[in-house]
Amino acid sequence: MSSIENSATDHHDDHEHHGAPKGIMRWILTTNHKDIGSLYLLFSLLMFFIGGAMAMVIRAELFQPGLQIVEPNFFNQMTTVHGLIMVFGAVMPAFVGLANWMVPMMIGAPDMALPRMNNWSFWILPFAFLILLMSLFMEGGGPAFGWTFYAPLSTTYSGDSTAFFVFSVHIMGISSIMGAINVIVTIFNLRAPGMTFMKMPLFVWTWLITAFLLIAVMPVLAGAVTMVLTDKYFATSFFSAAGGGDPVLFQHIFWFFGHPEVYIMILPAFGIISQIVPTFSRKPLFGYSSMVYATASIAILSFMVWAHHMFTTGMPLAGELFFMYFTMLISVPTGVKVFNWVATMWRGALTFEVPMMFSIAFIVLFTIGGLSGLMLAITPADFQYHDTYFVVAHFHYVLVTGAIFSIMAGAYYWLPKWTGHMFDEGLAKLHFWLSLVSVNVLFFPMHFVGLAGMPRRIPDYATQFADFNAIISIGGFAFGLSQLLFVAVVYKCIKGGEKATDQVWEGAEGLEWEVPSPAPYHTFETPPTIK
Amino acid sequence: MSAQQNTKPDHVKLIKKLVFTVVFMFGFGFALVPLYDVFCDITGLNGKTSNSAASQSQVVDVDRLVTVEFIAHTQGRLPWTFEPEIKRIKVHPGEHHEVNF
Ligand SMILES: [Cu+2]
Repeated sequence: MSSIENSATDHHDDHEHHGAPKGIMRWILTTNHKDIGSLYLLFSLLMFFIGGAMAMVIRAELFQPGLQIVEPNFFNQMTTVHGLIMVFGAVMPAFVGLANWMVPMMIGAPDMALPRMNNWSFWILPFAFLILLMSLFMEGGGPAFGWTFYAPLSTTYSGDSTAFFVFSVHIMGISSIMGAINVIVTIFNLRAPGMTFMKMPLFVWTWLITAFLLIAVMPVLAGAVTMVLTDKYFATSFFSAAGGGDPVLFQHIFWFFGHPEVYIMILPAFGIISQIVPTFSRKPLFGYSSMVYATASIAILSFMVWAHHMFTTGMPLAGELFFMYFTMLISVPTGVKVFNWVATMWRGALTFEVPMMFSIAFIVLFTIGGLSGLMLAITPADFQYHDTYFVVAHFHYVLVTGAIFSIMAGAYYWLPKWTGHMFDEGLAKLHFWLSLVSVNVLFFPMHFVGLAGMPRRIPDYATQFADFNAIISIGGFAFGLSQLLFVAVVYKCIKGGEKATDQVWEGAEGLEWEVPSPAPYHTFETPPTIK
Repeated sequence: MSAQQNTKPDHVKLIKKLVFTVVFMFGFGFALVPLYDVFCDITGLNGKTSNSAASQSQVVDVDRLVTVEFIAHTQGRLPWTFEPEIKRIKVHPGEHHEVNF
């Protein structure tokens, strides 16, 4: 412990020599994992608001039945680009940002293993989204075929912007793959002496497994968009029955990527929650090794369930049964995780700081999302739920109150370490409570309109859904506005505030809490010793 | 295990394996195209349509009577009227009828 502090203060002295350079070029040329982590996080926050603005357009149009504000074609562009931005621009880069900041510090490494590639993997990302967003202003508009870009919507019936969509997805994929390779090499090769695999914090474990998922499925996504590109522009017939192809094949390839993708967006969340809950329970995590094995088995199972998105495509009975049972099997390791979090809190000395409040909300609300997922896994029931608002409710519970809430929890948890200041607790609590209430007003009624038969991805709906949709929209606006409070808290925390201690939180344990707050530009240049 | 002993070449070996995985999975995505056909052939599951026209039933079921209702909408504030001439029709299954809009 004391040796770490010594080495950290040593670096402080020679900051002038290899500290942070000044000005804009610092950010463009940086190879420092903390700078790149900050860039990723700020970028994802920006994307969160751009994607959120599109959600506001969607909810404004759906506030009343009938067509009031936007044309159906523009509405479809909004649903499509909202999905793409939130998945690839907000949630995934936020997790990569957290990995950049925290993984080296948690395993006692001086930086990421491949710092120059790290710079590249961030800096190509803004261009990908610039291309995607600018395609919205093209003649004929941007992509309007849903974020899942099913053929033939994306091949035969899509606009000229499809080439730009494909190109931007390629860039996003390359960025993710480079990020994943970096994480794997860092974790394999740069662990401090004594940091064995089974001593790694769970955030590091979940990210390691996520990185393997990324390098396994992002290339498949790249293949899928490439096939769409050649089908549309170069007269191939991968997905066209007229040329001997099959549109259902598209769905198989897409969901072979798509299901592991949902775990890419939730495994790091499991890791964050597994860091926070022990801290504020003042107890070690219950069932550490079972958490590791559960994460690994979720990842393996994720490759065997993709066709649960395709029950209504006319699959044979054997296929429906196989995919139904394997999907349900995933709830076992997920249940292990939820059990372990609750068991960690059991008889702990609990306190409810903001990161803990977001974590508890995560555990409850993510479980609701998991449960509706289990309902969707039941093949005969899925025929009723398929393509309704029930599906929209399900994946927003796991992605907003799941992934996004965990990112918020993680941001509040590590913000004092990043900035050296405590955040405004009152404002943060207000942000939490407003988010918690509004997110449920927003997404819970969607279950009911979905069960009653309201289809998703429509700009207009039957009048019996009017009241519920008005409530949903009000929840949506409230949730959107509440997120401005988060920006205010982060801004205030960067500018100043009460000085944070090195440990920040009373019950916090791990290497990242042993370096000073704010974390110096270079940490662990001499590896720490692990007890 | 020690970070000090892990030098550049160690990275290169691991990176090579990971890049190979990426290339392999990109190829695998394309390999799914023929694999899908092979799988359907072997198991006789799903697969493509047989490319022969389905035969149509010519028998009119006079015992049953079904009601078919027609509605039509125009988009937004388009200055059109577009409506079915008859709102409702009762037909026997298998019968041919024409309705104007
Ligand atoms: Cu799935």
